Amino acid sequence: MSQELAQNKTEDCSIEDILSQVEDTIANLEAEDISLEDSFVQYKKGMELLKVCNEKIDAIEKKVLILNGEGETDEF
Amino acid sequence: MMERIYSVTQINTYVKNMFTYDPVLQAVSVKGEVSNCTYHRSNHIYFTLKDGKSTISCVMFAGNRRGLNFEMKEGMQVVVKGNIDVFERDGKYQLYARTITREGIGELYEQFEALKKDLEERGMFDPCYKQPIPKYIKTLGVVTAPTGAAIRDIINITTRRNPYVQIILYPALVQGENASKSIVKGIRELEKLHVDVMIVGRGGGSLEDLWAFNEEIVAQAIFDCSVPIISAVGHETDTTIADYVADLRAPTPSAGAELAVYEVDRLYDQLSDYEKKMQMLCLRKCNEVKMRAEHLQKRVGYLSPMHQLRTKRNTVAQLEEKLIGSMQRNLMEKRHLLQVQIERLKGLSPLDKLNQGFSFTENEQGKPVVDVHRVQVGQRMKTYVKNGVITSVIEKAEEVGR
Repeated sequence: MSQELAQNKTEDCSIEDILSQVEDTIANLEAEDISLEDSFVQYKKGMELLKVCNEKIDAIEKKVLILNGEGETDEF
Repeated sequence: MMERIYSVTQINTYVKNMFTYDPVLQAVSVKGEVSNCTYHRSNHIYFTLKDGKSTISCVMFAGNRRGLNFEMKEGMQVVVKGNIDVFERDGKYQLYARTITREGIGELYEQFEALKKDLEERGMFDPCYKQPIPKYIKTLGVVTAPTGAAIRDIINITTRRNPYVQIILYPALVQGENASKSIVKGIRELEKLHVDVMIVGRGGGSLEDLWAFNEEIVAQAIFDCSVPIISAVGHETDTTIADYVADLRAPTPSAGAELAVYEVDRLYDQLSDYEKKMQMLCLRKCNEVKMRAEHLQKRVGYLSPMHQLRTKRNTVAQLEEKLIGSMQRNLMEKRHLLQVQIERLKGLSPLDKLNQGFSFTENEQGKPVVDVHRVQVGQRMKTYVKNGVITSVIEKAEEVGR
């Protein structure tokens, strides 16, 4: 449940926030005194963050929309 | 008196002379609206100046073209400086332009400076109000004309950098009387759609063309907008009030798109770099732990009873070897010594003397016979010579004085 919450929280973050979280994770991994278990936990977390980040780049090519007088959009 | 009759040429020449000698007509500035403007092949410019009631034809010769630093168009208000002269062939007078300046430019600059000062004093340019431009956007609002280079450039650059960004264009009027209102409406409409960033701008043009971006309502709308706005008006050298109040100024619409839209390929590269780095770090950690484990295993090995036993055994074997070694050495030494003694003894052996013709006699008790007083007649003696033993009986023993 808590993990799910954390996941949702990540989903709400901007790409920028996620990237900085990944950087933190890498810094943790770089620490000399990290335990093997923790390093796996951090690695898993980092990979999940990257996955979310990839998903956040909504990789669908967009058509330019044009806003008409009624506040509706049409294709340009 | 007869009325004097002049030829056409004469009269035109006369009038021309009158013009020539008139100081006002020789250096005059005339204000009016441009019409019938023709740029001739020969580089002369022919046009008409007019106001509400009247017109005057004008010409600017190619040789004076340096006096004009903009493109004259129909309807422009200009001030023409030059002289008025008569064109004798047609009997027409014309304004011969030496310099042409745009009427109202000075006024616009004054307005610009005044508004800039006013807004600056109100703190609207203050960096503390500038919103940061988000680095990774999904939707980009654009307030500009739907036709023209600006929107094309923005679309091209955005699509090249990141085709996944949604552009929403508010097709605004960007010049003319209603432009400012149209731009303000565009900003507000796009704000309602919660775009991530907005580009407000247009391509290059004259000061008047860009004027909407110098109007207070546009400045206010940009200032009030909750969405970060990048201004992108005209060229590098054009600076408008909108540029000062915007959260970020782009020198051109293209540059605006570059500032607003991140390169998706670069982000993908970064993500895969991060992935590789994490894998590398994890692997390093694993190796580190593995090495420590191996090290510890070795240490435990040293401390095990088996190892102790092996070590003791080794020590015993070594000691044994040492013992045998030293024993042998001793033995050799003694043997050597013995040999020496044998040699020495050999040198002292009485038997050698026998070889030289001497003999050695002993009694029956094996004692050497060396004193006549210690023998008795009838006693047996053994005499050793070089090649054997002679047994004899004593017949007589007497002392001999020497």
